[in-house]
Parts: sequence; structure tokens; C-alpha cells
Amino acid sequence: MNISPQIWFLWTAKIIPHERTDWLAAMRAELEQIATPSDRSAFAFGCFKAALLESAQSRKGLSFIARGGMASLIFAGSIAVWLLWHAKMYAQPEALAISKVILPICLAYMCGAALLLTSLIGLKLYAAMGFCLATLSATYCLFARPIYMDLSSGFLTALSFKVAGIMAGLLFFGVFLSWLYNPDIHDA
Amino acid sequence: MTRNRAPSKSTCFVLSELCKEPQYGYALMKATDLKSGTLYPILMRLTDRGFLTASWEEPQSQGRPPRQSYQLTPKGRAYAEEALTINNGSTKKLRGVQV
Repeated sequence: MNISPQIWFLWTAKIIPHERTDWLAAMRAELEQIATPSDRSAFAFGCFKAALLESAQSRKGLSFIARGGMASLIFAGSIAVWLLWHAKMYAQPEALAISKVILPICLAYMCGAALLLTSLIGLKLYAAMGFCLATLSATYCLFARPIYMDLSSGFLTALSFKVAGIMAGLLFFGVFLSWLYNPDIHDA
Repeated sequence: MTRNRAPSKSTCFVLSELCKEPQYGYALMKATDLKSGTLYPILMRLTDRGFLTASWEEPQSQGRPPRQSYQLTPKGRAYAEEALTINNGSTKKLRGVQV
């Protein structure tokens, strides 16, 4: 698929952060210096990638990542609830093994969330919502246990921890991205 | 929180080219063999840190848009010299750069 440089630049203009619009003009001007069509396309694609990176680095981009993470959490939570209703394939020892792995991750998640209270607004929201979801999920799974008689308490506990574990993974992915891409701390 | 990390090899290539003279983006791409997706983030970062100034220059031929030229600041030159000294072995081998 050969996308024309104009199309790449159209997308670049859409995603580049406002404070980088001067760079967009500079990149457009350089495109005019390139004669070969394939080189022009490659250059324009590179500019799009650069804009994508800048977008991810900006606060707006991080907030977007946080919101995307939240959407993923809700999706993962929905899957977990669905599993609670239907899954009966796990034995108790396996569930306990899962809980042993997931518990340290949950603790790390809580520490990470506390750390993020001083960080970017989107990630603050992420942390707060993550806490709520984890608490709700754990409470629901523990207290709803007698209703779903075929599922052992170990499995339910493990599942609630697993949900929190997914949250932890996504949270730390967000933290890692902010650490990696924050322009204030990023080395050239 | 600020991290002091040694500049990447790509950044060293850019710095070494800019040590010679101010350059345009496309000329830098050709001189360093870097792609635009790598070069521009480096230029942005160097400009943000005050190591580079970007200035618009009138085109040499009619019908062309003004171009942005990149020049090291005194702070950037000091940083470049330090960075190239640290990376002298590998950078010199690849680019023939001496500091």
C-alpha cells in the first residue's frame, strides 16, 4: 500500500500536539526538497511517526493513554464478571497458585497508585478508578461467593486478584510510558 | 526529576553534523543516514533543552517555502563536545568525527 505524502501529512497535522505545529511546517518545507516519490512517502511516514511519538509524550497523549487504559480495564472487568457467571473449569489448587502470584502484583499496584497521586491528572484519574474497581471487584467476588456454589472461594478470590493484576499491569505500563516519554525528563 | 543519560548514537551523529555548520532537516537526514521519524524527535528534544536554535530562512529559489535551519547554541556546542568525547570511539569509527 502506497500512501501519498499528502495523506501522511494530513494525519500528522491531526495528531501533532499544538505546541509542535511549527515543526509540522518545518517538515512540510523539507518535503518540498525531495524529488523522488518513494523518498517523499518515506519522509512523510517518518514525520507521521515523529508526530505520533510527540503526541504520546504530551499531557494530552498521556491522558488519552490513561483513558484508553481505563477502557481496557472496564473491558477486562466485564470479561472477569462473565467468567464468574460461566466458568467452572478451574480447580482450587490452581486458583490458589494464581492468587499467590497476583497478590504481590496487587500490592505493587497500590504502591504505584499512591505514587501517581503526585503525577499527571489522567493517571491520577486512572489510579483512583483503579482503586474503586479493585475494591468493588474484590468485595463482589468475596461476598457473592455462596450464590455461585460451584465455584470455590479460592477461585473467586484469585479471580478478583487477577482483575486487580490486569489493572496493575496497565497502570505500570502507563507509568513506564510517562517516565519514558515525559519531555521534561527525557534525554535527547 | 531529571535523568542524566549519555546521548544515543543517533543524537551523537546529529550533534557531530551540527558541529560543522548549521543544517536543514533533509540535509541532516542525508548526512546522518537517519530517517525523519528518528531525526525530528531528536531535533525537538535538543531544541527543548536549549542546545539548538531553529530559524526560518528564505528559500534560495522561487516558489519554494521557507526552510528551518538548525544551529547549535553555545550551550549545545559544549554539550556536543562532551557527548562526542564520551562516544568518540564508536562515533569516530562510523562518521570520521574528531573532537
